[in-house]
Amino acid sequence: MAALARDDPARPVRWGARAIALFAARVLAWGVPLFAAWYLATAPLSIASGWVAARLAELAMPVDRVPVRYRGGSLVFDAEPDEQTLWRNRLPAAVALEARANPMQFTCSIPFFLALVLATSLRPAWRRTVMGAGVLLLLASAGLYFDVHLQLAQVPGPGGGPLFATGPLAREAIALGFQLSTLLVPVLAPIVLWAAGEGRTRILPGREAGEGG
Amino acid sequence: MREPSTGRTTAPAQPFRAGRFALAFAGILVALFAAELTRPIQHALVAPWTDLVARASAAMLRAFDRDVVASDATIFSASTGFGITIRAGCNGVEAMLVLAAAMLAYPAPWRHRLLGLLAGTAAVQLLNFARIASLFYLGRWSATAFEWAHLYVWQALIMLDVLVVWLLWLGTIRPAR
Repeated sequence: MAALARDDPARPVRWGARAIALFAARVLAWGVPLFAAWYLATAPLSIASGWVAARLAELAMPVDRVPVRYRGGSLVFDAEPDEQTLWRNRLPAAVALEARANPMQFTCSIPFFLALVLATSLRPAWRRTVMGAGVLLLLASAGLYFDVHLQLAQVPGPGGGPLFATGPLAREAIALGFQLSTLLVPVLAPIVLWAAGEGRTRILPGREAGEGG
Repeated sequence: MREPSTGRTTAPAQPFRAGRFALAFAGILVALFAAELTRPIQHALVAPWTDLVARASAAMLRAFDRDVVASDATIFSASTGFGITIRAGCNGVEAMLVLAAAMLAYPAPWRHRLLGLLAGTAAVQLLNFARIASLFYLGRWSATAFEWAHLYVWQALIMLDVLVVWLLWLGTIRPAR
């Protein structure tokens, strides 16, 4: 296959319309097997991101424990409120609140990122690529955490108010985090990471234009 | 001036600095996205735009399929009753915000940015129409295929479209020396 960009990163090429169209076609071509591979690897990816999301929830929410299960493609989080929340709502000690989330909605950034990297070069910097995939897995965990937190923040207590005491600013921040995590991060983060790595040295005009100024 | 590698007439540009671009892009994007989520903007711009996208999509679909009916932001099949509602994330607004942030953050003349935004908006909305049409027919055929295309595939395709438009736009800017 003909290389789309020169492999010498010191001399990046400004891409013309044909090269960009070829790049897009290669992203699409790589996307097919990579999305299939991602689908096959859904369970371990989901379990890993769910585990991190549960730890984030334990750090940021008034809960004692958040065990998480992978069931039928979904993650089920069982949040156990802390003593203060139980006492304020006059709840028995054995209460667990369930929140379900679709981990694939967040981890789908990984095959997209790999398709961008492989479409740019068949000889990518593997260390950087693995690190990029790791960052995306962490971002997927953050997205899952926001999803869980948002669901649990809306659970009403016995008195009718929210079970978890959340300030108005924190509620807005969680809602913004959830919106960013679902609408932007899964599709934008792969491009940003790709641009910071392969794209910067082979496509984007960082060196040739930056050096002039 | 002529750009040697592409042979196109290009607009002059200020020097590009990756760090400054990244910071400006992130700042502009978060500001635009946060503004988009506020009630006044949702009420005044996003909701009417979403309705417009739904109506335009339904009108285009009806050109070759008389079974399609639109009601506000919902498009449905009169014969089967299957319908899709266009919501945030399906109206192309987020993709347009990303493109706007990338073009505004890049050192380029304002006229060039404006032309890029207009062309980019058209490109995003054209592909978004293809997304809505494909989702409508996929949903009538298979719920699983609909979910896959809706949640995973089309999101990436729309953002790839944004990237392609941005790269093409970059190619029309003469780098500073």
